[in-house]
Amino acid sequence: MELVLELLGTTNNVLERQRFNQSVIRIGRGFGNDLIVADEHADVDHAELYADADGQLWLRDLDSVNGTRRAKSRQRVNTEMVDSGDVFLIGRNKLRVYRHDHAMPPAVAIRSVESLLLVLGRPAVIAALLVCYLSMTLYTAWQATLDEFSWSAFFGENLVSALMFVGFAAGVYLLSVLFRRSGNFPSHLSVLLTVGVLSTGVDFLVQIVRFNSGDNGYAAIAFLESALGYILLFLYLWSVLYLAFNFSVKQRTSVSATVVGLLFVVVLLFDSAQEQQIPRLSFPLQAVFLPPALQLVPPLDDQEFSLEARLLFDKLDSVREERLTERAAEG
Amino acid sequence: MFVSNAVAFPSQEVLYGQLYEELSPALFVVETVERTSQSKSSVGSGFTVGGAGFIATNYHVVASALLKPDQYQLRTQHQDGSELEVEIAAVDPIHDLAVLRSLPLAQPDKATSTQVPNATPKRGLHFAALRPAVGDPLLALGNPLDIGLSLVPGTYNGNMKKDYRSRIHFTGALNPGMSGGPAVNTAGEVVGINVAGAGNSVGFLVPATHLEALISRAESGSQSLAEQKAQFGDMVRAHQAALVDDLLAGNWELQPFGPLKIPKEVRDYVNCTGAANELDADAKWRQSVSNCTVNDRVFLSRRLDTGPVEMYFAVYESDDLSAIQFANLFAGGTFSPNNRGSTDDLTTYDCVERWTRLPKLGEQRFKASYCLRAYLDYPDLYDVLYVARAMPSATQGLYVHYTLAGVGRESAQRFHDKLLGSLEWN
Repeated sequence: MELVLELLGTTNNVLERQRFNQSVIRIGRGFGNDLIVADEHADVDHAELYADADGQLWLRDLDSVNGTRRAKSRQRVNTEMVDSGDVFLIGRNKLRVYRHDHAMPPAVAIRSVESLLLVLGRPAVIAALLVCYLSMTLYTAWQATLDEFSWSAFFGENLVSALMFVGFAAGVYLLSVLFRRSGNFPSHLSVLLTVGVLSTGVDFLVQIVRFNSGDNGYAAIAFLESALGYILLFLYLWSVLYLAFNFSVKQRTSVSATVVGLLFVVVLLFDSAQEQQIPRLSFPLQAVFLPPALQLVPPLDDQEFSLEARLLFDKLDSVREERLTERAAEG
Repeated sequence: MFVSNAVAFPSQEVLYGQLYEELSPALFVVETVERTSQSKSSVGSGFTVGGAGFIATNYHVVASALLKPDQYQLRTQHQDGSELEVEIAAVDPIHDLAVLRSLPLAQPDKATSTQVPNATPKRGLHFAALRPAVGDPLLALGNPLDIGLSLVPGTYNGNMKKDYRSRIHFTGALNPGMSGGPAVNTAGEVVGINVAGAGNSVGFLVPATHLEALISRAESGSQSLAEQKAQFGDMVRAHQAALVDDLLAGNWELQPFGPLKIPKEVRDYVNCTGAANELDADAKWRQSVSNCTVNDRVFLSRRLDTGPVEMYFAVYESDDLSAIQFANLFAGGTFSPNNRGSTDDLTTYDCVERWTRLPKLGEQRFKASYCLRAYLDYPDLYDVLYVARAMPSATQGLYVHYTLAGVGRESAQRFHDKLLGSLEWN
């Protein structure tokens, strides 16, 4: 019988894959076995795989201390019929059994976004992203400084975020090494840098929109801004799950969507808990101001503006009525 | 030093002493007392005036008892310790006046009558028939800092020019607790009612004519207190409408201010100040401010006052900053309401914020915010806060800002149209 056996890690990642061509395959911790399982919970002679006269595969437990179990049901087995692709537990390790002619799915074509992610790991791209991100940060800091620009202040202010960047990328790298036995630190760093560059750019665009908008657009802009934040987070997770953990497109999409969804709910709950806010007593509503060249929408004339203001009186009258009703109800 | 003073003005001292003797029977301490704890919440003064035995005081002394009768009550005490049962007969929040009426004596309560005898209304003071001349001595009487009835000599300095309500400028120390007490001439006739002090012997009196009018109203008894309270909003609105009308009819000759021409002291009582950072050689930008105010506050309650008007203009300029740096600097300016109020009395502000053009300023675009809050207890009464910001060039910024407190729609609209319609380029 020709078989392929895989030892799987905790996230079902393949730790070891071997091909066998013999009538009985012995599995255990002992060195005399065909497949040696380096796990103290596995017996020296733990189990064996064999085919009967009809070619049916069987797995037999050799009275092991911890037994042999089906991975999914955790049910202990003595002599169990095996189909190609079945997974068993030997100690803490998972064992997957394939017939050599097991039907394999076709290769997944590398999508353009995935190839882009792979390109991000190239040193030249990382260098370019780093330069881009640093220039944006430097420019923003310079524009926000009204007195003499101070390099030491700049480094002081950005040291923490730089350390966070590197630390975060290193953390993801370590996790990927832990779970996949491989990692790509430059890729993780460059994904973070890309998110940083995108987020700075998005912030500036949102500022332009906010600057041009009136109060009738602020709610939509705030919604757009938070939506863009969630989208960036989704893209980051989606990319990291691909680069660091080799998740399939379906897995990484569902995991990223779940994390973003949970965060959204938490923020929503926190916001509703914060509903009792101190009333605003400082105006204008949006302090943002940009150079006149970025003012793109046509203005109202003062008469049209006054009409809008007059509607505000009616609106406030309704608010007043509501407040009085509330007050009467409170007694 | 004290001796030499006494030697220098012996006759005046005798006169003051006589006056105090004559007037003190008409003086009262007016207290607002929290009902549950029976402890003083505020202390003021009052005096019997006219023949009908009314006691005059300030509206702000009795406001808590009027607005929250469940929580506060009035206690009127004569200097000999006797108490007088009173009720509020008429109020004029605009001029900060109130008139109290003594209640018929209740059946004497054995437990208390021996300790706190009921005081009968004292002989009332009379109003002065003639206005004093500037420099004439005036005597303010009251209960400063709740240390007991006192007499404070001072000088009549005429009506305040920088005051829309034309209060009397009294040069003499008016301290808290004296509010509601009388200021009399040397004949003991009431010229005004103590209302506020501004420190360093600058004090303000409400002219007695307003009290005369209020007493006539109280005598006629035509309106219940509830009816009077219901009219507060109308009174404030009418007062502010008259103020706005008076401002609009003033001198709107424009004065150059940076790239703009703006109105400044449109009336004598409009107080304008300027500020600039031009003298600072290291500053990378210049900022000039013109701020004109009518600080005409109407006390409505401890938490709520209304009335001030403010017109503010600012120009920012720079030769050293980039357009974005300059815009960042310029964006930092924010404005707050000029009157006191809380969410218990007012709605929260709501704003319209849009890009606009102003009537005479051509194609220049301003980002304008028109913010409004309404008074809960007084219908059709609002506070307005307006801010318009523009950058005529990459390194020049303009602020146009005004606030109106306690106005109706009409007045708000007229003021807005007049002020913004008046602005021109220099």
